[in-house]
Amino acid sequence: MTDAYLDHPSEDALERYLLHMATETELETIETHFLACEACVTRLEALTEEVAVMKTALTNLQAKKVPATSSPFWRKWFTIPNLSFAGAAAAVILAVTAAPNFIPAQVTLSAHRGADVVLVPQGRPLAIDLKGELPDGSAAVEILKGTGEPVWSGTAADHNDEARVSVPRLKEKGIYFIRVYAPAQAGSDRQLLQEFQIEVQ
Amino acid sequence: MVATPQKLPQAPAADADTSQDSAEKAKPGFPAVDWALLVEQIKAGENAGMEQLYKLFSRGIRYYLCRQLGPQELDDKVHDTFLIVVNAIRKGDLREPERLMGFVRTVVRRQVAAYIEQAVHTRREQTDLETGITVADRKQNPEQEAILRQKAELMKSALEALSERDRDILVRFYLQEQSQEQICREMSLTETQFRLLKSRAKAKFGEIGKKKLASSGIFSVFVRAQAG
Repeated sequence: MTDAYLDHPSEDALERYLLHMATETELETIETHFLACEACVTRLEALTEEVAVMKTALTNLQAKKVPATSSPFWRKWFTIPNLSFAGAAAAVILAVTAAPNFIPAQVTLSAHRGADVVLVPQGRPLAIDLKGELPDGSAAVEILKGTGEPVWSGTAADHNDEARVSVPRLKEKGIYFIRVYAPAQAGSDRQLLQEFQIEVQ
Repeated sequence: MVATPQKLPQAPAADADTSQDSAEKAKPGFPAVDWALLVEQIKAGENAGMEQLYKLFSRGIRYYLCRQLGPQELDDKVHDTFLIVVNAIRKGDLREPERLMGFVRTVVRRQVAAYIEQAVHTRREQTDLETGITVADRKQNPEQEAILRQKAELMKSALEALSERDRDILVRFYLQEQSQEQICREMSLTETQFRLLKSRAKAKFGEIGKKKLASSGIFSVFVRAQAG
């Protein structure tokens, strides 16, 4: 008889036997041994209960996790680990909603053919870059509603074919036109150079 | 994984015979048996041999049959198995006495196969004659069920105290019955790390469970914290 049958199997091996994970060789060794070893039958019986308790507890724990996900959405934000995420989310929301009202929205307008409409945010000051063939020196800029009603006028300083103009908040939603005029010459009307369309949303 | 032999406390020697291999008798916790003498006694129909055979194998055979076939008619099955073993030995089917353990296993396995085959045959042939099929209830009795539930409830709270990683190992191994190789592969663990983590998780589990069970006054079933 080989010594392998006389040696008590390890707890690992007994567990694999109980969980039907033992290899054929291991199965032969373990079964041959415990058939004649009361001590190992006792170990197997205890381990059987242990595994059953473990499985039941793990199953209950798994089942407990499922309802947790279906609890009200807002509730999980008040658990300790989620408070930091909630704080971060609040900061982002604040940055997106409140703070930009004081920061000019950057808008770039390019003159080209087509029906492209630049979208700009409502209620925020605008920092508009006008690109295209612009006059030397300062250019007059006028903003009109889609209905033709003037809303604002000012000047934009030219800098390397790009005029920059700061526009106060446009409070109403809708289509607006931005017109750029060449500086007025003496005895003549100012010349319209460019017209851009924006939509305030 | 290599099964590491675990040494149990030394059991008292059953006899003082010196004719057998001393290595076999020296195994701690394993009954010292003179296999040749035992087989000779059985062949000769001596009661001493029959008693020793029964004492040696009855619990193991009972456990094996119960695990494979369920608890119904267990005594009869154990008895039948012993009769087959004894008759086979008397007929001289066991040529090497020191292989008695393996011989008993072979007989028990054949018995299990025969019972299953018989059950299948009976069900196939006698379905029309029976009003219904009797299915043995393998569940524990209500008291055992209640105890198990109570222990499991305590264990659940012990499990909650484990780290996510340790718990994941236990879930994969015990609940999903994933092999060690699969767990190691998917969790990027070496075999040693797996054994260590499982052992640690079980130890912690046992430790917490022991405390909780002690505080609840229920007898602990999970006090063994050694590596699995």
